[in-house]
Amino acid sequence: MANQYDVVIIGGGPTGLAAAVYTGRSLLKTLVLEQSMPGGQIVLSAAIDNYPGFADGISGYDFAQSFLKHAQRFGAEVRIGTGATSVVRNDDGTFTVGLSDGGEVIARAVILAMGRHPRKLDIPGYDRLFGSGVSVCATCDGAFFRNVPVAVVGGGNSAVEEGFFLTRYASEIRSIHRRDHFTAQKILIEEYLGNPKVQPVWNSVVEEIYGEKEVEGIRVRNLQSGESEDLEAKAVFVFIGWIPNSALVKDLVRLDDQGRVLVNELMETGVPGLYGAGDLCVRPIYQLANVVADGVQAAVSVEKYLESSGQSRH
Amino acid sequence: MSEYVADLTDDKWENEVLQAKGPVLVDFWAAWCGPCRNLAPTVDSVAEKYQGKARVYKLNVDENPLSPAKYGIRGIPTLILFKDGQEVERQVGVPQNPHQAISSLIDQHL
Repeated sequence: MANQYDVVIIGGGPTGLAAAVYTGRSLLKTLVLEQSMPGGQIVLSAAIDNYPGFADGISGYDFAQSFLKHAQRFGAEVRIGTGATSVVRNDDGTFTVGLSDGGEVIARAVILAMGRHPRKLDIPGYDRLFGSGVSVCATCDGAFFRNVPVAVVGGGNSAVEEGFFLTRYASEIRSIHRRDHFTAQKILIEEYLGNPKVQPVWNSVVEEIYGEKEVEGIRVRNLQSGESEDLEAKAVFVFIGWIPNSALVKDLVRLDDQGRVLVNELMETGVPGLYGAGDLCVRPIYQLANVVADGVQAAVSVEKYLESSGQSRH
Repeated sequence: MSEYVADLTDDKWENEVLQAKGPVLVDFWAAWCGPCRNLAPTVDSVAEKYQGKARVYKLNVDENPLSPAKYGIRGIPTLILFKDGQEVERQVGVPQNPHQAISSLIDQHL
């Protein structure tokens, strides 16, 4: 049957594509649904420098394209621009996956690899000035802000990495974080704070982003003194964490209080035939190498499940 | 090189965009922008679909700084749809289901 698959993988980022390489090599009929960009969030990365084996680093785009080709080489069908709108478990143990183009497919097993998206700042000006100075992608937008002051919000790996990238262009970087230290990897922090353009603004939050048609500045409040001050910034790059894309399956699987899918070490969700992997799930760390490994584990678990359940392959 | 999407330059902007009749879609991009490169094949297929109905261009923002500055482009990819020389739609970033999203921008102005 044309619309029946051994496994449907929802999400075409590194996790989903890694799973597809393995299910493809196991000769399972595989469909990957990618609603937007193959590679997902990694495409936004200017240079991946911590993926073991790539000694010179690689751009997120090139990495994603190579990953896509790899999955396709072993027979996975990747539908780009088509997302999943529903996942329903049928009485016979198969799954019906509704598609954003109005169609549906049947799967013996499903791997959830929808990843996560950047958290927004819930303050005045964010939505109105998004794309006019408010950004979540330094690689995409940094070059529009040459020799002007910009602000970075957040203190984790993303904030520090992307902030460092911005030192190529901006005249100065006000780096605003609600704590008194960054939580990124040490090598990243050293590199970042060692750059004379970078001025950390500790214990502070952004209250407002202002400007008529474009960002002109931000109002920052110090959490200890309670006092607010205005800082000039032509752009605000926001990296304050992530929201898992789990809405699709919130009634089907168990989530933690942050909305992340709970899985065991075999990537099982507790629903037979339904697996979760990568950034979508509760993981000890969120690094490219381990979310790729998640995809591999999920694929192997699917293969074993389909063998043991004795269901014929398509 | 794309078959259906022509390269636009600052020099040609006046003639190809402002003086043009009907819908003109401009894709602002750069080689260093991963999402832009990701979106390019979709823009190409949209251009093919609207052949004869809408013209589709891409403009490299590194090589052509004037037009992006004039239109306040502060992030890419940005797509702007012009009709009879006037901006009528703008899309910043890569949307979900990009082919459908870009098509629906154009459909409203055919």
